[in-house]
Amino acid sequence: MNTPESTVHPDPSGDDTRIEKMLREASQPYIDDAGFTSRIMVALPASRRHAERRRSVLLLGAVLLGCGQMAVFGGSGVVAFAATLMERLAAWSALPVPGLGATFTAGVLACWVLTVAAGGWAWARTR
Amino acid sequence: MNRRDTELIARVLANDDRHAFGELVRLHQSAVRGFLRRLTGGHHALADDLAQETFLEAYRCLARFHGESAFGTWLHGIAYNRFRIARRRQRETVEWTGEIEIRDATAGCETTVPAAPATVDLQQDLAAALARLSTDEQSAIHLCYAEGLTHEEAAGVLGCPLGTVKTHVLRAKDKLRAYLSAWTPA
Repeated sequence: MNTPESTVHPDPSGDDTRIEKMLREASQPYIDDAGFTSRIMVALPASRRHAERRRSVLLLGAVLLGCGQMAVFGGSGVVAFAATLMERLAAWSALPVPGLGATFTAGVLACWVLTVAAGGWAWARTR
Repeated sequence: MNRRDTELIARVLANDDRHAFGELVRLHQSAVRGFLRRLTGGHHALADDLAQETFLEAYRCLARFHGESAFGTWLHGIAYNRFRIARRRQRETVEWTGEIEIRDATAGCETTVPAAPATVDLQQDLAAALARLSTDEQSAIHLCYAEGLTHEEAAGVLGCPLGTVKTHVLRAKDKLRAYLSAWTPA
């Protein structure tokens, strides 16, 4: 609440008090809603949760599509590619073929784990 | 901050509950629109446009409201900023003199009991006198008396130092005393 100015600045004539009383009594009358709130609701932006859910569904879909493609098309192709890669790398590096094979397998497994983790995170965001 | 506002805000932030936000709008629309009508010198359509911008910005920025002030006070701050932006944009095309016809100053007074003639005359004279104040003085007077904010809260809404608000209020009252001298009892 405001400290009445009369306690700080003497107001012997009482004008200040009268002015303050007038101002308080003349406060803005209530303004009818008259559809104002409805107009606001129509103008609100798209729901934040819906936008996030849409993004998560798209991400999950992309992950599943990638896994599906890998499963359907990648089987024998990956094996052939891996074998050729390991032969070439073995010719170039000092690592024996089994060592290269283990490294390659570990890398593939790591990618698979990350892919599944990303899919799980996207799934959780859709809940 | 009052409990009802706190509950509604929590629902909007937690679940994007639009019904809760609609309730907040319903609770505060009269005060915000009244404030903007005062700032725009009675231009109801402009005031309502600015009020709509105010509530839309409040919805977008609701997560930034941490309850340091009352929700209504925070809304008034947004409303004042929207007004300042609009005024800056239209400064060259619209005269913001604050001069309004007396009937516009009292438009929207939906009273169910007819006021006595002397009261209506006083209201009209007071409205005309308020319209002669500068925008800053009108804002300070409206916030401190019509809305019941403290000087500190009004300073927060207007984005100016506390001393400036006190100066605006003192100067406004000096001017009103002069304009309304005819109403001073003998």
